[in-house]
Amino acid sequence: MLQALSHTFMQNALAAGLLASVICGVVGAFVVVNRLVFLSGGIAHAAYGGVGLAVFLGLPFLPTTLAVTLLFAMAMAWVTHAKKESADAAVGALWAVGMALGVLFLDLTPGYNADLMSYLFGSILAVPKESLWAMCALAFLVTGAAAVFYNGLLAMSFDPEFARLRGVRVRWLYLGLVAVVSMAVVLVMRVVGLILVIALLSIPAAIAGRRVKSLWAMCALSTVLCALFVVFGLWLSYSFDISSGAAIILVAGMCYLVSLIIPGTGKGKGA
Amino acid sequence: MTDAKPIIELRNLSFSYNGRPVIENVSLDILEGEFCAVIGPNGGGKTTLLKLMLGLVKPCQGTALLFGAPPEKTARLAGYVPQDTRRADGFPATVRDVALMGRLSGRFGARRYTRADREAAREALVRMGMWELRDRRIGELSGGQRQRVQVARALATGSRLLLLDEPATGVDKAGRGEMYELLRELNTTTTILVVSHELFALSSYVKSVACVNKSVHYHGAAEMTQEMLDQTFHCPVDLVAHGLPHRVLRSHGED
Repeated sequence: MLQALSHTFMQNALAAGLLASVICGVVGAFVVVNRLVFLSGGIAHAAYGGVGLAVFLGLPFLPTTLAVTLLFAMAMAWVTHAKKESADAAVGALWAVGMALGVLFLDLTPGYNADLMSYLFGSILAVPKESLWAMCALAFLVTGAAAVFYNGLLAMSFDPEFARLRGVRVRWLYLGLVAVVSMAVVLVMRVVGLILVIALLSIPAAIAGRRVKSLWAMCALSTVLCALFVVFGLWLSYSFDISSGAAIILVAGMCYLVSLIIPGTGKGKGA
Repeated sequence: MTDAKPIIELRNLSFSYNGRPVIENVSLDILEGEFCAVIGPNGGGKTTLLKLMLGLVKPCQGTALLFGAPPEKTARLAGYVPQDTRRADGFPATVRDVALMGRLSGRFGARRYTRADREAAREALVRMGMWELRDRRIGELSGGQRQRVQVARALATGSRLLLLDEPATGVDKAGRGEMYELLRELNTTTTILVVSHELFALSSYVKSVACVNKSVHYHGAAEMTQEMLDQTFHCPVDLVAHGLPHRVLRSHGED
């Protein structure tokens, strides 16, 4: 591992992985307790539409993808908040439409032969510096927002109706949360791929949620777990010359399986 | 009772869901100091009626006033105990965390809890006999214990009005008696509205009854005679769940 770290690309990969861990650990805890994993999956796939548009029009990658992703995310947030009965199917539809738009835009782009796999599974070994800075900023934003709005977010996650009665603007908190999920997805997707984003948002938080007594402890534990998965996955990837994204996912998935066998503290289903 | 002012006023209230009327032309006053049971068949609109009172759903017609103002403005002043949805299962929060939510304030919940907030939450938990379990995960508690924590959360708000939606769900018979006894004690300082489908168990505690089945028939204190209560009390079957096997309440009149 130490020898591996002498390479600049490995140092960058490790930094990207750790920053992604802070973002996904904290955001993931809120995603899991609010049961937004499916919605986050939709956001991640719809983001592919943004990727396609950025490439097709030759626009800067990050702002374009973020704008398109936010558009889809707000549409999904609106249906899940206002029309709960039909939300499941509507999110599924937006998920697929966003993805299809991405494929179409890439088809229409002359001479473009981008590898679909690099967006699906990311390219953590080739992370540009700007991405690192953007992730750094988002990591601060995410932890700061979680700390400031902790009481409101906790109450909304537990019982949104009661929080609303207390005068909390639950709808805005919810939209804010979905917007932050979108930003996390777009930035982390660049690094680890849109499929791995879902794994990092849901698996560490799901393991942590069954074992802690508070939401902040869940954020902290899922961040640590996330970092462990990333580091171990990277090491496996380097040692056995296998795809880094897939290695990280498999490490996380195996740990999730093991954690399901070991009983947690909370009875009943996981958070 | 006659001089008490209304805390909740519903005027010609109607609400329908997907074109199906749930509440039809309901007018009802709940006076300060009341202990009112809201009874009626499943799907009869009991929960909806409570949500209309709190402004959680908007009426299609008519008006609702809570503490003399639109409920969206005054809902903060009410203590609400929703039906147990088992959402707490597996949720990473302690009993104390949940009670503290009764002290939540600020538009986005950015305000920190103060010492006074913690004290109010502690008092509410002590009152409900749940202080010993304060550091337990909420999902580890039994149904009855969870209901007590929910009542504690509502009490922590410091409200003069408690609206409880089936607080006896998942609670055993002895626990129900304790719950109703607690509500009676609270009623000395607090107006109480409790949704239940078992008037039988509640009858010796309540002062008035509102029967809900789309429309509402209200039976005030004057109607709640000892004889009626005795009859209810000796009734071997659950009054409402079995339709109306016999009249313990005065007939609803024409309809």
